[in-house]
Amino acid sequence: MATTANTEATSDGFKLRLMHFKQRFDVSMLFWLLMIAILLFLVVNPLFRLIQISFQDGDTGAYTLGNYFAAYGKARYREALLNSVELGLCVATVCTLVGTPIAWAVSRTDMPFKGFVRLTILGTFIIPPYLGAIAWILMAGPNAGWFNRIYIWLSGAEHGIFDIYSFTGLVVVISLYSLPYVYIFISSGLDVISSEMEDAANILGAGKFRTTLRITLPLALPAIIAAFVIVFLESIALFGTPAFIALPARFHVVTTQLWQFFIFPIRAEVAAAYAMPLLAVTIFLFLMQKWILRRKGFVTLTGKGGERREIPLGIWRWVLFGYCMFIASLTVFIPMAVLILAAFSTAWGRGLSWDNLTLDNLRHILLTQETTQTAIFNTYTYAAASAVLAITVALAIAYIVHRRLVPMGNVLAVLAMCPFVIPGVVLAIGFYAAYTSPPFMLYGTAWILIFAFATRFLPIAYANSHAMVRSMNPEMEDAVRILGGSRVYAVRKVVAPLLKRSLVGTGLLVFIPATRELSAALFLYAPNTRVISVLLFDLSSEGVFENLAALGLVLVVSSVTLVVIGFKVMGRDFMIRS
Amino acid sequence: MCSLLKYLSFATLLALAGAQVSAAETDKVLYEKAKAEGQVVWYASSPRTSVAEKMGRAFEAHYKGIKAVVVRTTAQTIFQRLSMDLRSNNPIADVFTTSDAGHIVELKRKGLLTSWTPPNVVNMISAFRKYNDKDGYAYVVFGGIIGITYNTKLVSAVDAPKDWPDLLNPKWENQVTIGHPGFSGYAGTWVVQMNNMYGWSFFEKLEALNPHVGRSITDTVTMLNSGERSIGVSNLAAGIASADKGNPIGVVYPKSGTVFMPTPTGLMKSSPHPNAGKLFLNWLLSPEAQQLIADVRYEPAVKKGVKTQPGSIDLDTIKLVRPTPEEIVKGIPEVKEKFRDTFGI
Repeated sequence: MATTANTEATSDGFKLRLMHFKQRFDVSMLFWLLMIAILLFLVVNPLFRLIQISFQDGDTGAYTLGNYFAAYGKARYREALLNSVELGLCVATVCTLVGTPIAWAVSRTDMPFKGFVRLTILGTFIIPPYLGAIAWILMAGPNAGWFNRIYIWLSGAEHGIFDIYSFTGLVVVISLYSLPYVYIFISSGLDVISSEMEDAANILGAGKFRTTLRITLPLALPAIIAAFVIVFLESIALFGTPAFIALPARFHVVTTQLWQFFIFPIRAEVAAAYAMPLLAVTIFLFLMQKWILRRKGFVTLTGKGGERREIPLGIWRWVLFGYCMFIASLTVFIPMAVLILAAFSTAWGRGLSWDNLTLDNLRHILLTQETTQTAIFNTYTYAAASAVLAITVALAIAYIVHRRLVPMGNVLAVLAMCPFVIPGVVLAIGFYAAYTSPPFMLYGTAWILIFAFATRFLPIAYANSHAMVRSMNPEMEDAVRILGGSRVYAVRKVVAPLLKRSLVGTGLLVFIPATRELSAALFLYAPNTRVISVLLFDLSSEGVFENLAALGLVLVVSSVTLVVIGFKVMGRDFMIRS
Repeated sequence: MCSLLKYLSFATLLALAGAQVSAAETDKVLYEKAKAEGQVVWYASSPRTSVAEKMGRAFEAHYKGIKAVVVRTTAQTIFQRLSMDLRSNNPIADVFTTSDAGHIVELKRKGLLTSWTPPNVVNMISAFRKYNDKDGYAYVVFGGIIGITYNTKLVSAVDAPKDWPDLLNPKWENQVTIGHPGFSGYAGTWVVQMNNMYGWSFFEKLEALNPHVGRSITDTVTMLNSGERSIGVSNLAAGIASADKGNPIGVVYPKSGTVFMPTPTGLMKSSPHPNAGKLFLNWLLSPEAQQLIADVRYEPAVKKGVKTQPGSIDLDTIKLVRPTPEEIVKGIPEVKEKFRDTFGI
């Protein structure tokens, strides 16, 4: 009797001690620390190595400023940097201006066929920008482009008016394929604004247009600014599209110039030094964003209440729809027509005719060319893994920063945004420098690609998570904690379900670009970890456009299929708003 | 006397037979060792991916049990890959083929290649054999030729340029397309050769005609196919192959000389599969591989007696020119800079 009582007492005592321990030391803190550790691994280590080698001499390893002199000594290199900044600003502006009406139309008006418009945006997102660029070259090439030929035929002029090989051409192509970012950010921002404020404005006498400009859009300002920043950073980090368009147009941007530093003799140290100003640009942009949003309240999501009504537009809904279709034809319909035509032609230059049609290109790509099947598998597995990693870390960090779980949280936010301004090429160099020597021997493995992709798209995931967490009132989590749950419990049971839809959207925002990511993959791939983007890039310099188009078609079709399956599995038909 | 002669001839016969046997034996021994290694990784900037992979598979069919992994991209890129592998102490490539002879010179200088004489080298045409590395570090497994191509729908055969200086005719303004020596080994060699033959003013005059500068020398064929440009400086094999499919491409072998591109291949010292590498290199020089190259590549084969495709040409009937390896090693980095200054990129 005494022994059992004793044992009971001991086990009770133990349980009591454990409870005291749990109360004093929130175990969930470990989880946050783990996330921070992962962030450091993904972002800080490569960045640190990058900064370190920028100060090291290539041959001797001694510390020197020589790389910076080499990087900025030549006027051509400085010009490339200016070109990039100019490109980024132009693209971000054009893209925001063009994309906001589309986002507003889908989110807040009664425009018809919204599901279809959303589909076209998805299509734009899935088509790799460099594939779009290739199609655009065929559409707007100064001599043989379709648009120019039509213009000449219609107007009888001697020359066409479109020249894709120009700064304007580059801005147009990149803007078109960056529209999805603008759409996703701004429509997410607009979605959560309840109609109460618009009603208040209407009651006080403002018309629809004025309400939109003075009430709705300013409320979505965080989203608009986030979109602007992301598009800026995305456009200066692109490699494929500038390689196809800027090079023949005779100007360099930072990414194509960096590539030159890597052509024999490799000057990785100079490349690292060259990339440093871009870091400064990110920090500057981030500070700007904070400053603009400093004293405004944007809490509009308080649980699941708040009605959102569509604004009736009358005849203007058709005008808006026409506008959306016009944009969609420039990004999806015409380029895809070009690709399909080329993919099924024996000889692209022969033009349209029945005897020119063939399935051989597809057959060759899918069955004969060995690398394709492995590449397809690799592409989708790496993209999925990196998406999961990125949103987990991004949401955790956004939460930590917003709820001030650790001091100096803003440093974490900057870190999370950093990778996007580092062009994929340079990030890959950083990863290469950090993870191809002991203790981390990741070269040639799939992991280095997955980590690189996750890091590359962490800023997008973070920006979205940041907006999501910011729009959530802490009251709900406080309610959970008052009732005895830990923070992690609050996140699991309250925050995550509320954000579920946005999380899926964010996941896709990482997954899809990861499937078509070129600049990072180009540096880190090994023969058995090749992905489709690398294959496409190689094929583009082989003069066999038909095969290239076939492979591009395969990528687009399989991505679309996977996304559709994903949506069905998640229980949402993306045609219907839930 | 008779018996001595008989003895001598018998000995010679034996020696020859012995040589045959020992060559076959080397092959067999090598094959066994290679099978133990399991695979060979081939980094190549030439031929085109589809051809390179066909060759890989033919190798696998011939030597069962050894996988051939083919990595093909443009010359500067594949060399960059190789350099990165070596820098990170993670050698992957066994056999390295590049269209920029300067790479081989550089690798040899740093002691990164293995010297070995493949038995099949005896089959090479002497025209090609002289481009092999004297110390056995590199062999010319195939050669390519750079000439002038034109879009037959836009330019008639009569009007097409017949020689390199014809490209500078003002009537070709906005019509020419070329590759970039910063990306393409072929383009680099061509620029060095033009510089040698005509001086740098050739490019200054060319720049005034606003040529389209792509990346690879094969980009030019795509440009011509689409009709975006009508005259190109291209790898003629690609041009002929495209024409064969029905695209409107015509080729011209310039009078002053078609630039010849022997594409050297070497064995990496750090090769993870040295025996498989040797087997592969030797196989590349075999009649079977050479016939495959000629069949699918439309290019002159390095081996004697290989049937070439109609449309491609016997190298003996045209004038070939080419810079020396030393000119290439010094020349390509130099002309890259000059090219960038003249053309702005």
